[in-house]
Amino acid sequence: MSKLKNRLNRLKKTHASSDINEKDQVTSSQPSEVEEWGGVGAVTETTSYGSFIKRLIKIPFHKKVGFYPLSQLVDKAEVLCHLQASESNIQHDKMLFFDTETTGLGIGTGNVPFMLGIGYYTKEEFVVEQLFIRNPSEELAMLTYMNEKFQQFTHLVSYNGKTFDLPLLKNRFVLHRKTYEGEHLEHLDLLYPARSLWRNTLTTCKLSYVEHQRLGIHRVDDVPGSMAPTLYFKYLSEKDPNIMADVFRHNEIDIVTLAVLSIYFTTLFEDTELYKSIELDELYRLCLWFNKMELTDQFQQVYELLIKRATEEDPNYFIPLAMIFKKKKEVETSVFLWREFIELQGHQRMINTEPYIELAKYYEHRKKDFEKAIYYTKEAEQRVYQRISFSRRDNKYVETIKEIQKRKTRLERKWMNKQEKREKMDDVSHPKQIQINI
Amino acid sequence: MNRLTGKFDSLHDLIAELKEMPQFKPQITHWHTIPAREAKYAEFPGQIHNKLKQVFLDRGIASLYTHQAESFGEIVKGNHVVTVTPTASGKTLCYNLPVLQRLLEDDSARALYMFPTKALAQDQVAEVNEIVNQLEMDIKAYTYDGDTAPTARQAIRNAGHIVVTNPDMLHSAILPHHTKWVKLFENLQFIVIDELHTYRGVFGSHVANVLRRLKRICNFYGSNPQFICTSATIANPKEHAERLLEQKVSLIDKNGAPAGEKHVVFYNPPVVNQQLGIRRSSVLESQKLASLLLKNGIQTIVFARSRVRVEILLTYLQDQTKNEFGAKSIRGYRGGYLPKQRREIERGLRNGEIRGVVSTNALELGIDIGQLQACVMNGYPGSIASTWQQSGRAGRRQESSLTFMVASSNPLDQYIIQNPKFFFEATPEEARIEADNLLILIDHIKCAAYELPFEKGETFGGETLLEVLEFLTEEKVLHQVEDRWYWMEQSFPAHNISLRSAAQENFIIIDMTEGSRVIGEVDRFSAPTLIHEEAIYIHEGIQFQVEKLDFEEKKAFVRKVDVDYFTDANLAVQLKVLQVDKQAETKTHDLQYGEVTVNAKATFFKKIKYRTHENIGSGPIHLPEEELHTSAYWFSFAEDILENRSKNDLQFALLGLSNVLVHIAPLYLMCDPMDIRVVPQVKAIHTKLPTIFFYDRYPGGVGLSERLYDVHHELIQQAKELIQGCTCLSGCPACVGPIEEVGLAGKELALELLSTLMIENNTDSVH
Repeated sequence: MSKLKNRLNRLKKTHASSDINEKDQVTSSQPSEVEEWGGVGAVTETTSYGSFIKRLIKIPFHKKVGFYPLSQLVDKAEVLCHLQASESNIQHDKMLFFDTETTGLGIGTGNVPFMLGIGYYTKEEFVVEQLFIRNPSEELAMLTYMNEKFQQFTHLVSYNGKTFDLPLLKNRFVLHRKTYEGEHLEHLDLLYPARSLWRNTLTTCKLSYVEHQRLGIHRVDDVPGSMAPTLYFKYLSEKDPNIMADVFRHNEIDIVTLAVLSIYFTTLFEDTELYKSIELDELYRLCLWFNKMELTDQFQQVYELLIKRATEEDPNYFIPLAMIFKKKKEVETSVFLWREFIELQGHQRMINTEPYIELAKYYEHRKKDFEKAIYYTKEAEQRVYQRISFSRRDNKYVETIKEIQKRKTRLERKWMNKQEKREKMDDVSHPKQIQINI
Repeated sequence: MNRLTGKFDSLHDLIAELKEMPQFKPQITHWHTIPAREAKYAEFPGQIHNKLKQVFLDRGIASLYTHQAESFGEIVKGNHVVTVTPTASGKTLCYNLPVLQRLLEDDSARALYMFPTKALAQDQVAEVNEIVNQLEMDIKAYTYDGDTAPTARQAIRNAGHIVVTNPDMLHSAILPHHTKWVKLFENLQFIVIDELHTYRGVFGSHVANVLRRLKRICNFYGSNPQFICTSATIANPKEHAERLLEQKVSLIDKNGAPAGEKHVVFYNPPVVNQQLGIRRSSVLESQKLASLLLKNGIQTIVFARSRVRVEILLTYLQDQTKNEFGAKSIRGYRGGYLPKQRREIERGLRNGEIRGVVSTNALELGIDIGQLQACVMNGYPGSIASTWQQSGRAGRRQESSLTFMVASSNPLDQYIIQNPKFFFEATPEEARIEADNLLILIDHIKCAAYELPFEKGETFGGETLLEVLEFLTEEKVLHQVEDRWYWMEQSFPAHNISLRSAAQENFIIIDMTEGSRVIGEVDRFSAPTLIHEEAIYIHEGIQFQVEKLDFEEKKAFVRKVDVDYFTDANLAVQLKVLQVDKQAETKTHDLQYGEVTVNAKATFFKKIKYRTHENIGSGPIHLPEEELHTSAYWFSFAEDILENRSKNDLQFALLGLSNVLVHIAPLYLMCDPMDIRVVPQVKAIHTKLPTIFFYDRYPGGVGLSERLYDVHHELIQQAKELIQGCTCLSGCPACVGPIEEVGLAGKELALELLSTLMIENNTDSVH
């Protein structure tokens, strides 16, 4: 043994901890000569660049996954174009659902996607294809196969693929000095709409949680994705395909879920029945979607239902809604909403003062009705004082009060000027100034 | 001198009269004059693009200095180059000229610049952009470091012609993500490494491995870049560059830049207490000299060795010169200032608005502050190379310059000042690295495998790659398939490997006087002594008191105060043996190797009155201790060693011996003296015996002390030869240390102590 070997072995002794026995066991079990992939339902795919493992699953259209049959996306995918930055024509059979399993975190060059899962619609069924490399030397063959697949589709559908799976895949092409031939694919990353819809209603937007909470999909004995690297490393040393069985299953469900989630998003565009059952905040978020997408009909529908439900459940939604209309230059609707809000909530001790201020602005600038404007300003002032008595001394409120009082003073001056002009009354009693002393 | 104003008309007059001024004359122990040097010019090489030449002509530069032309010539020939020239000799042109020339010829070409710090990188980009603007060409130079906005990063990766970064960024961000830098790596033609001398010791060994990885990536993308390096004066620039780059390098060290006459004055503060031999404070003397210079309109830089001293000197100087200048004219400069503030100070120095600056060695590196007229060093900077670099800050081309080295009472300073020959005749220090240090090498082989799989036949470092790969495969970090080794682990290896010993995390300092405003930062290790609660933190000469230190969140909240004292914290250091991994015994002494912890704890602070420097109060500091867990090697002397020695003599002998070993150990390890610590203890807790400890100054250790353990006998043999061979009478900094430190008999005592070990060795070798 060389001197260096000796030193390295010493390092090993000091570095290795209690898991040394486990490691010894691992190396003692010899990898089986012939790997049996039939058990996990996979076969060897051989190309001119070498071979890798491929698992193919065909799911009939009528199969219901969670709440929806897979067929529900057929000819219904167009509306998904609204979820993209640049609108393009989406056909269900041109969508490639995509998810990877990797050896680590981050998008550094040492993180290897050892499994590429893809899914797509054919005329008869939904197909899941899982490409798996038995060791890193098979990667090139797998990537070449992917390049060919890409040519049949126009859209890539993923969950967090924009920042993770796709950059990682592109890394691999660079590392093999091959061109990535998927540049023509529009990328629809469902994580973004999911986050915008469920930001307040779901504690996390992890795919497995979303599907459980909203799609009716319940995984049984699923291995978490975070276990995938460990299992793969175990497979590398033991070469037993059965070790990977759970990872294949996990990835398969991920791919199918992507299709079901796409179905769910399409239903949001047309299924008015659904609006009644989703949470109020989701309805509000949907309202924001349609407003941003400029889908007037859907917006109107959701808006009307939202008003009805908010009146009963939580009138605070009136405030952001009013701002939407203000931005849309439909101020009269905003005024209606602010008034409704005050009507409903005015008796509350802790209340958002924004509608009062907004109404004051409205009467001052649009209606030149200073009396009404002063009225709402004073109301706002009173509410803030109430609030201060509840909370500790806070600079935020001092600022708010200062602003309100500035507004009040200005309004009173304007009102006086107007009064003087109109009637030249000689004595107008000054409304009392409230001293700030907090 | 002008009799009416009491002022000198020029630096020249001041220099002429200084020698005879009664208040200074007795303190001047040595006056060294380096004659002025004429410029040596060379024509612009014929192939230089007309546009580029025009830029320099427009700036009034009609020809190059010889070293600039020479380095251009070598680069055109395709050689790797290291240029060694002093401060302000136009060294940046040595690389900017060939790089810009190439970019003008070939728009797809790329260059990577590496600087040891972010500040230097930013400086450089500004300089390149100035030339580029004049060229009116679309050449883009960017910094890429931790401060670069995420939104800008992609543009830099794809479009930056010149990317300016630091080794840490290369290590943890660029190389592990090289697939995002395809454009750069495919077309990389030049790698510029400035301040090459800073890459030494353990840090340098890490950087050498980062460069191996960089070359490996370049090779993958089919590029084979040329290295252009610059270095400050060190003893072995060519050798050092060749070790770092693992390439043959052409050395260019014939400086063609002119320099004015240079006066280096050694100044020893007067003795104030004859009996105790106490000298006046070097801080007060430095301040006296600096204010003399400043009051006479001479632009001056003052170097102090600690941050606290910088601020104290700044306060004094601003006060002394307040009739002449506003506070903005004399500034401080040190690590903790915010980048924006530093840029402003650098600019002020260049355009002359700032007349004086007090700095730590932060300004020793090549940050462009133009040339000043005089330099005052408060204390010997610790190495010959640093001293010349600091002194190089003063010296305009056509004018005389003046440097004062003001000695502190520290024994090394006193030795240097009393033995000027030692300083002026010695060669500067060597830079050493050991790129094949096993632990460092393994770390970087991991990173390299993460970046690209290893293939059979590849080389990385010494002959050992295959064995390391097999080792890492057994450890299940790599996976071997035929002749290739792939990274197969979940972690991101670069994250767990830091190139530098000091933790990079900083404490920020928030001024709560009006609202809250971040005014500066302090590194983790200095925090307990500089910003403990009640500390007076001085920033740009303004006093702040620390009201609250949030240790967890790394924030110190301070408020402006006006007091007549500063604070000085005491740091208690303890060394504990945790585990003995190896040991050997001889008749007279035992040696052991193992794990230790070194604990540093700030215990209390003193309040020290300005100007009189008397102690006017103190208080406790309650902060967690800093702990360094590392490896160490130590040997102890038998108990009977005390029989015919006084305890005092033993102490001197141990100290003397440690001082010698500090010189020798780095030679064996090819490390920097800062990488390893030697601690003598008359009675160590662990052995209960007189013991000398060596420990790695890196968390976890990097194998330095283990190597020393293996060569123990050689080490002490060498120590003996060194002491015997030293021509000094009774001790000097080159052997056991100055007599002020080890006593009159220090040399003899150390030698005697050593000989007890030697006799044993001879008999030992028989067995």
